[in-house]
Amino acid sequence: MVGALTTSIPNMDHQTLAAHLDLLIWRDEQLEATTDQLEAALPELVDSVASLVDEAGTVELLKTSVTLRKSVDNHVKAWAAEQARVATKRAEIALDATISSLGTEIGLADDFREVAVAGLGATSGLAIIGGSLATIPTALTFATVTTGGFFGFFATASFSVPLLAIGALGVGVLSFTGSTVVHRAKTSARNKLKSRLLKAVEQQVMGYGMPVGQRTVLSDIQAMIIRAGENKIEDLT
Amino acid sequence: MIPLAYTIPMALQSGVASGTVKLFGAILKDATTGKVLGHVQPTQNFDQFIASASHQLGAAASHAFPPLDMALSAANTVQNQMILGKLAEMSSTLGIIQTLQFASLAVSGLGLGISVANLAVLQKGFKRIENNLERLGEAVERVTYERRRDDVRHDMNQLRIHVDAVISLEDRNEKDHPGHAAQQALAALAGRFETHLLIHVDDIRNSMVEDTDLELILSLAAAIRLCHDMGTRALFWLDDLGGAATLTARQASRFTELVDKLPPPDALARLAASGVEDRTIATENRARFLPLAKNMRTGLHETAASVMSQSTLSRQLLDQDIRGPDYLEAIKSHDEAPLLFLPVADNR
Repeated sequence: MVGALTTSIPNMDHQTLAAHLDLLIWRDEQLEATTDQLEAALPELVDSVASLVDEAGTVELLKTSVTLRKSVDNHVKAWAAEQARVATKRAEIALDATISSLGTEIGLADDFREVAVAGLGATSGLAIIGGSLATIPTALTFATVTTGGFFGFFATASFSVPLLAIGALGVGVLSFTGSTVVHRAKTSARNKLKSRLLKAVEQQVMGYGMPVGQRTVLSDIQAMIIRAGENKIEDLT
Repeated sequence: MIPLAYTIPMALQSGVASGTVKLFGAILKDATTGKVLGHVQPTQNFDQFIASASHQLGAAASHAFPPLDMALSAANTVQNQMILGKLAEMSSTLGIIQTLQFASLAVSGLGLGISVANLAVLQKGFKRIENNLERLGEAVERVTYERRRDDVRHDMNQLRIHVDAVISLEDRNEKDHPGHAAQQALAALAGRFETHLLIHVDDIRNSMVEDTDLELILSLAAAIRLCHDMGTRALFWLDDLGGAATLTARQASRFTELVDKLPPPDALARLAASGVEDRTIATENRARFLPLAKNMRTGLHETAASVMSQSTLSRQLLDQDIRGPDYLEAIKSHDEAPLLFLPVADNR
């Protein structure tokens, strides 16, 4: 169904409109900065995950794929929590600057807060971020994320290495350890496993090649910023 | 005597440069208190002036509503700075323009958004919108329901008819009936263009986006704004400045609702890269599309600010006991500079 204008926005004056647009710009700049940040940090994460696979022994790969899966999971989740901390800190500083530049006459009237929050929250209808927004606690604040209090979110939420990506080495490989052919086979299998694993990491962090509505680490962090921003504006007095 | 000046006071120009004065749409305001300090107003020369500066530089952005990639070529490059420099060089009154993004002027298509009195800009704006929508016909149809393209064409024809009606007001003895009729018809047409735009926005919110989608959104937004500008001009001729002030504030609020519904540029750029598995290609796709999406966002924000400017302009004229028709006539007769300045009453 095609959306319609709800005319829920009260008549604005030029001050309220300017403030509203400034807050939209804050949101847009922070979403962009977060994507830039994760894009820039992703190669290092991928390399470190590759190292985890390289360093895992053959037996470990075969028999304890669950262990590898868990170690990669934890590695990525710790990385995600740190990325969230950096992104939300940046967003909070920028929002403080935006709010302080709104001008003294804006008065932070109820109408303004309502319109501003509605504007930021319009992203909830977007599949690319809406799924994450739906999972973020409504009371989330910047402080919760930047002090590490939200680390647990990534422990249970957006990232999980699929079982399919692990357990790539066939049982037969182990029984022929020592032969050159088998050594090549092991290397090839390890590389295949690594390739699948790294692809899974890229997909779950950035959503590359995934359906638009798929939750990712990126969309989760962006949703945190929007939700924390909404709460900060609502709490302004 | 209408206190229009050919130059913006140096104190205000300095204030803009230092950040203590902000230009919002056509409003010059105190950055701290928000108090309106004056309005800038383009004359018939404004569009020609920009075109001339662009032409002298051989720039692509020699017309004010180019395809996005052309606008972009003038947006973030040295060429942009050269155009701005040339504008300043051509007129000592244009320091203020340097604070604007040239690309947003180009993309929003109708100058500073104070075009209510600038008929030449309004008429050129209509032609550009029409040409753009014709060129984007396939994009219109791609997303649309049956006969959407015909609907848009029909509405553009209606817009042309009502634009002509408003233009003719200047020479009519009896302005009341045709003026009100045209204003109401334009308000209804704006609603139809809003619907066209919303349909398209709904379509791109969750699917892959292309350049032409952004151009189409901008073209439809420009059509909405042209409806508002021409309707406001009709109210000026009818000397209904109170009505113009209220109506344009409401129009700005509605336009802001449209802006709110658009996905953020980052989301659009990621949608443009959606489905790509390769990290490098996905990153490149996003990087290519992001400036286009940001340009669209800037153009739409400028438009919202510009529509709001007309509300404060109407209030300012009321405060100074200036009649709407007199203001339009005064702007028409002041055509030696590209920009005029209207101070607020206690600034005189």
